[in-house]
Amino acid sequence: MARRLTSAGLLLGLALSFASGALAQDEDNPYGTDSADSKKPSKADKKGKADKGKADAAKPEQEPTPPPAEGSGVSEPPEAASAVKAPRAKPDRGEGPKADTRSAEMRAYQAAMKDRRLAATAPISRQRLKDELVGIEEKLDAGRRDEAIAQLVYIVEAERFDAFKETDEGRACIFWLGDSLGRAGAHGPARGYLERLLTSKVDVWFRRAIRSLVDFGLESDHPEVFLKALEPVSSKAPEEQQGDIAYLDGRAKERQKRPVAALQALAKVTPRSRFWAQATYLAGLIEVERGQLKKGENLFCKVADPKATPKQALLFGGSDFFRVRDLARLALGRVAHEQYRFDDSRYYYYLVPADSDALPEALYESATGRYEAKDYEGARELLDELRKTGVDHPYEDEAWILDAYVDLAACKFPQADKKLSQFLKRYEPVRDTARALSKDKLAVRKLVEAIESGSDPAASGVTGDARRIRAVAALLRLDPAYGRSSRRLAQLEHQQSGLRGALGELDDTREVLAKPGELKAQAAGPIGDSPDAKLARIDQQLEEVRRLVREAKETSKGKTSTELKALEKSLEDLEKRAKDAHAATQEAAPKGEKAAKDLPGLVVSERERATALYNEAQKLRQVLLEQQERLAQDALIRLDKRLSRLLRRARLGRIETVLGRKRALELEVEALSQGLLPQQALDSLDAARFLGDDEEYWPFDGEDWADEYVGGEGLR
Amino acid sequence: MVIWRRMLTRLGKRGGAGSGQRLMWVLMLPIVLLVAYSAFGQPKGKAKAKEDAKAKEAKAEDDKAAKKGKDGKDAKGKDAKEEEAPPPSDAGAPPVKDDLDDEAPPQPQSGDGGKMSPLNPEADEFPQGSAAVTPPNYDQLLGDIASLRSRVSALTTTLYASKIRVLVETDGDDARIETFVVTLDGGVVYRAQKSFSAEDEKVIYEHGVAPGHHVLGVEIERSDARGKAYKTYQSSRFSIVVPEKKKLETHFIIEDDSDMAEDFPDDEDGEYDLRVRLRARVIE
Repeated sequence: MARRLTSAGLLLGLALSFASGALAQDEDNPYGTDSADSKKPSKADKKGKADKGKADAAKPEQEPTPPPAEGSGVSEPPEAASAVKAPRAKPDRGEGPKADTRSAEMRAYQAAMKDRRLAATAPISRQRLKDELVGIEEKLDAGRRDEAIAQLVYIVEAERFDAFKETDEGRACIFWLGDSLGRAGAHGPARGYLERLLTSKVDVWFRRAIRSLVDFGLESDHPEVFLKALEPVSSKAPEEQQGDIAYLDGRAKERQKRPVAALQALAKVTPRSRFWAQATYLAGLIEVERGQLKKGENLFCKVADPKATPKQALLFGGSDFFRVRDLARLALGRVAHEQYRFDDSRYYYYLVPADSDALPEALYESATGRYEAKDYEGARELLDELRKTGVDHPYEDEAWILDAYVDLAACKFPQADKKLSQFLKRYEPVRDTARALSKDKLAVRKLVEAIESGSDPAASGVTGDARRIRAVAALLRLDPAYGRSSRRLAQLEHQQSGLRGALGELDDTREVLAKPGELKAQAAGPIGDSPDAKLARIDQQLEEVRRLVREAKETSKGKTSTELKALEKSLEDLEKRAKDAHAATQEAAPKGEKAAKDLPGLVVSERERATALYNEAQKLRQVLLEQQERLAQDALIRLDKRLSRLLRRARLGRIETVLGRKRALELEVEALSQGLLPQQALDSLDAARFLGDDEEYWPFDGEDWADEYVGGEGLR
Repeated sequence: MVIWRRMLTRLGKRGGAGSGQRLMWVLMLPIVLLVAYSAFGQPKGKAKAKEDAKAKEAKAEDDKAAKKGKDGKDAKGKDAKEEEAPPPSDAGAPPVKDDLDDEAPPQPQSGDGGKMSPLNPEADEFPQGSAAVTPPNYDQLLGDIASLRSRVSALTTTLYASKIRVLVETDGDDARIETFVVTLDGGVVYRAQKSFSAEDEKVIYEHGVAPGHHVLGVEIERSDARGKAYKTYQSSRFSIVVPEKKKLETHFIIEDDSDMAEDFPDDEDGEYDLRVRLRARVIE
């Protein structure tokens, strides 16, 4: 019993962690989601949002009544040019992103450019803002987010914009800037801009700012800082957004391991909120974790049962609703299974639709339930159905063993033995491959990257037998934290690659300001020989050496030779040298120039800061890569454990088949001694033998009129 | 039941001598069994009295509890009340009833305690579901980089009259672009989202740049729709010159006429045919 509870509890824990990762996913987040690509929203949904944005921006404008220029709550006045040199705030130690738009730096630039008479002089008007917004929204639609951000910063951080910041167009500009920064992962500046929209009137931009802040809060590791900004305005928000905020609150409390407070917050989510299904499902999971299975079941039912679901929840929930419904049905099956209500659990698993990602899981768990209920025919049907789906799923190995055990339970010993032998033949090498891979961090990362991107794992650069690598990839169950880590790494790499371009632009600007009118010179070296390209080549070569050493070790079958040891030593030296080369190619700031408060001085100090940021990002990237490798390695180690257990189970199963056959023979001998012939000894031509219990054999005793049909003549 | 039906069927169909007698026996048998069962099911006198007393006690306790409930007094203290979670509701949905309090799980449906699955996993086979994995300075750093990039970009927009525009056009029915990145002087200026396609030309970048020599790069990873295992990766760099106070339009045409995925599986002979063409012209 305790074992059952542990396993079911872990399954639910897994579901909870999955839900935490998956359900938090932002609909528009291009960096995607955990596991599975299926979590991405439909294109129609995205389009709908974009259309809504356009529609909002294209609303008929009111008469321009620019309010008096006011310094925003966050931005510094232009005089704060010296702030550029001010030391940056210390990196947060887990308190979350600070709502800082870093406006002072941009204002300093503008002041310096004004001094040089380089500043833009064209006046800003509402019409101009409207025209700019059209272009910006087009860029955002086309995925040119970085350009859109640059354009918006240029507009929003101009002194002339202050007069328009409370107009509809001005608020639209602030919203798009905050939203775009947030989608790019810069949550601090995003908060800074979006919070500006919460302080004044309640309009479409107020509502959209709340929506974006909730999205970023769900994506962030620090939802509490977003809540802090949202709580004061929650009462002004419409009902559906109050529900969104309550859901964010519930998630924050759940992260803090405060289940009761989380349930209180989740109870406030109404069906008009787009997160109603997620909130109800999460509340159900929390109840189950607390041991309140009945309450949990009741909550799951609200999502799983179309009659119990409020109609509005479907309208507001979007495409995510049905994914959550599948999860709720799965959860109901598990709760029923936990309570030994095997028939109920089968019914709930049956409700998972055929096009759901959770179908293999449902079929496999349902088959397990039927096996435990001693309904071996039912288990067989479900396993056959699972096989017919033809989908690669992470339960393939377990389903195989269960299949053999169903045969064993039905006394079909030869079939069971055959399946178990095949399992051992197929999965023993796969387990060995998983074990070997788990020791090679780089190979692990490549493999997992291939799984995440949906490409062929055998073509990922991991050396070894392609079939085995594919089998390892199919069986791997990744921690949801891996998906979050990948998303962060992708965001950082994107910003870092953009920063590389910014460094070049700052160098060009420095040259242009120093020697006006001179054209940018051609690069001295070959254009394909950047330090990064060289490092990439070193890494590739090193990977090849690693592969050769690994293959040499595999061929030697555990015997260590002096040559192999020497090779391993050389590899270690090379790895150290490669690491040094990576460290030596850190971005270096130009020397010998003193930073001043004029434009060239600002550019120099900006270059220094960019260099420092680049190097810091490089270090952080390394941390994230190591984290990712650790998670991937952990997944492989867990796979090794699972396969080892199943292989042990398969061997035990084979012993049981032998014992079973022996017992069958004993029974047969016993029967013979009592004068009963075994079934095989009966006349197989006796048709009545093949009839069921409720059937009868009626031999043909009519007359055959052979001349009534063609070809029948003369047959007798 | 099957036997019962079968017997009746046999009786009805075959009939014959002695069938009436058999039918009578068959009808008598359940009546006899019923009488025997009811006789054994009668409780003895003493036991019945004990059960009555127990039932009376239970009823008295229930009444007491009901009275307490009416008075609004609960045996639980304030702390206990706080711990009691409110029933999550959905704006008007019925609250969770008290009768939902959990009880011991029912026994297995099968009579002998159920047969455990041979596949119950071990605890250490599950992911630990680690909560926060973000390094502490991640948010701050990302915010700083994004702000710096936007500042530099805004600065160069004001500063340079020379501009570059990058267009892209893709050709190839069976080619699926997995990765598409455009770089300018080594920095990424455009990264396509998944399943990128540009059958009609598409503007992907337009910005002010310093006049003079620049290096425009493109990195493409493609797979074939006819066989996903057949992939290609290309990285090309082009040196271009942006004249002073002019706009340079660069037009990438990316073609793929490969037949490797179609021919190689059949006759072990295929060909990759990939081209990246760049046309640059001053337009303003």
